[in-house]
Amino acid sequence: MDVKEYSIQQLHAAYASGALSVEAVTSAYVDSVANQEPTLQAFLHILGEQAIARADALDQRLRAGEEPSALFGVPLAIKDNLCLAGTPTTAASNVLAPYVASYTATAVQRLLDAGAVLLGKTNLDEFAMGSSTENSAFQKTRNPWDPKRVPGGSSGGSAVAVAARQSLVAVGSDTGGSIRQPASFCGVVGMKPTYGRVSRNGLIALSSSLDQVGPFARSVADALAVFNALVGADPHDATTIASDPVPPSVLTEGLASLRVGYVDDGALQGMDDEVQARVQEALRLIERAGAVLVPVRIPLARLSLALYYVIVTSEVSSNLSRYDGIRYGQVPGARAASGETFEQYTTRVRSAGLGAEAQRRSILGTYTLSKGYADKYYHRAHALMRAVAEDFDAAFANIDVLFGPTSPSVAFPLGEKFNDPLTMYLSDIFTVPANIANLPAISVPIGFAHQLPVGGQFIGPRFGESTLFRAAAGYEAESGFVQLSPASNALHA
Amino acid sequence: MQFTDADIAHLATLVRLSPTPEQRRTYAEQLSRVLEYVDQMNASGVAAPAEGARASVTPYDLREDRVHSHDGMNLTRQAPSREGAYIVSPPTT
Repeated sequence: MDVKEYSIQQLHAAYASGALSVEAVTSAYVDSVANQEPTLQAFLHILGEQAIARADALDQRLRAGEEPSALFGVPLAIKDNLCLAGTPTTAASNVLAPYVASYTATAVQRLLDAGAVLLGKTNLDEFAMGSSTENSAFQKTRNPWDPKRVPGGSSGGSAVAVAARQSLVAVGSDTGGSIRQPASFCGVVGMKPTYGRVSRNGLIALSSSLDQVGPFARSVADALAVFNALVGADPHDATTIASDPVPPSVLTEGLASLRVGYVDDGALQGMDDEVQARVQEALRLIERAGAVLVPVRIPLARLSLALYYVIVTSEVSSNLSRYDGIRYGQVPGARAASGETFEQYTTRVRSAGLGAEAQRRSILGTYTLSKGYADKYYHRAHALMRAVAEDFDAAFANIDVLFGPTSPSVAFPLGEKFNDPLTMYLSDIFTVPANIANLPAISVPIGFAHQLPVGGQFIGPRFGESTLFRAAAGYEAESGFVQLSPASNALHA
Repeated sequence: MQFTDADIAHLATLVRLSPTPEQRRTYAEQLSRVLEYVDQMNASGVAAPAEGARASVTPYDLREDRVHSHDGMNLTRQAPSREGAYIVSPPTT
């Protein structure tokens, strides 16, 4: 068996028995990154030498009798909007192209403390703005199931790295679906925790009230291992709370007696027929496994995407204002010309350094925050955000988890939606509500449509990650869609 | 609401961007469509936010939406140490 097919649990057993060394496993993944990067372009910064050195050090600790920690010797990739001291951290933006982080994000440090081996930093849409990873200033990442198609976004590089066996696990950030939608497109597991579970210290901000870091993995069990390493209070992020880890025992509790809600108000209109068929099949499987299906209505959820784009663009216009070429960000060679005013200089730097989507969102956010329109847009969106959350809370009074599609379609061809922002935004229509209502959610593979992976999404109650992981693992065990591989042609049948 | 070229130019100035005329035309068209979609939240029939809820978000009046220019030389003259047009700052690591 290829070592890249091992789960975390299998790797740890092999390390403990001496059948494998961390160096051997890390080398296999480093080679996989090198071999596939010319096609996939998932990584912005490859840290192969550092990874091998780290693996050697871990092997020495193992030989010295050290008890392996939760992610000991686990190959990991991180999205390039997370700071890693001494390493370029660009958020895929030209304005941060020369930036080298001076500190390490709390989330990343926790993964390293748990023993992970960092292979590199992955590509994303600029500042995590997008649903296809085409908005990166540096390269377009390809879907390993079909390189002519997008991997989803904005954490497309992390999803591809896990799906293509370039890394065992990865982390990304999810503001409106940026973990779950690419997980769905690439046939892997992707999870967004409840806001407050994971520190945002060292995460380059997109929308500070919604951003959340979470895991990618090829199984729910591996996703849980990464989640448990990530969570907890952080004095550097006042929005975090103390969190007990989710016990691995939930992974074997199954679906029996769980009350699984599904939306029954026509909100699924506009979906690809084959994707909808896979969702219906998944619901039947969930019922056969002993769960109770409960139709629910969440009428205000349909407004989530509209108010999401008010809140996000408003926060973007504020968060990105720091990239003025003085406090943060610069474009190589853009020194102030003699006699140039502050406004002229910053305008020149920002216009050259920020891509089209960043510019569009900054402009729209300036409008929605403007004196004449803030009541109509920003303040109203905040009021509606609370109303949407209350709508979900009412539904969760009668159910344990909610199940539905992750995305209305499978991965779409490169370039198809690139010049049509609204159509691109609509690909997040099923993921955004969990962010707006601040609920944890996880996408798991549920089959294929048009010979491409389809994801189904479980949404849990606020801070209800235990139930969420139980449901996802229960479905995974029943379905057999564990560790799908783009290299396996049989799965396309 | 349909954004005009002048709207985009004004908003871009406020947010310190200088899109080309072609970019302004493209942004106006794209953002008009986005705003049309966003406006469904205003047509939702859900009650407008109460004064109290609004105050909790922004407990102050918004300033006018116009560009404020600073007298850069007046500011730099206050720096404790200068070298030509530049401000000398302590070394950082």
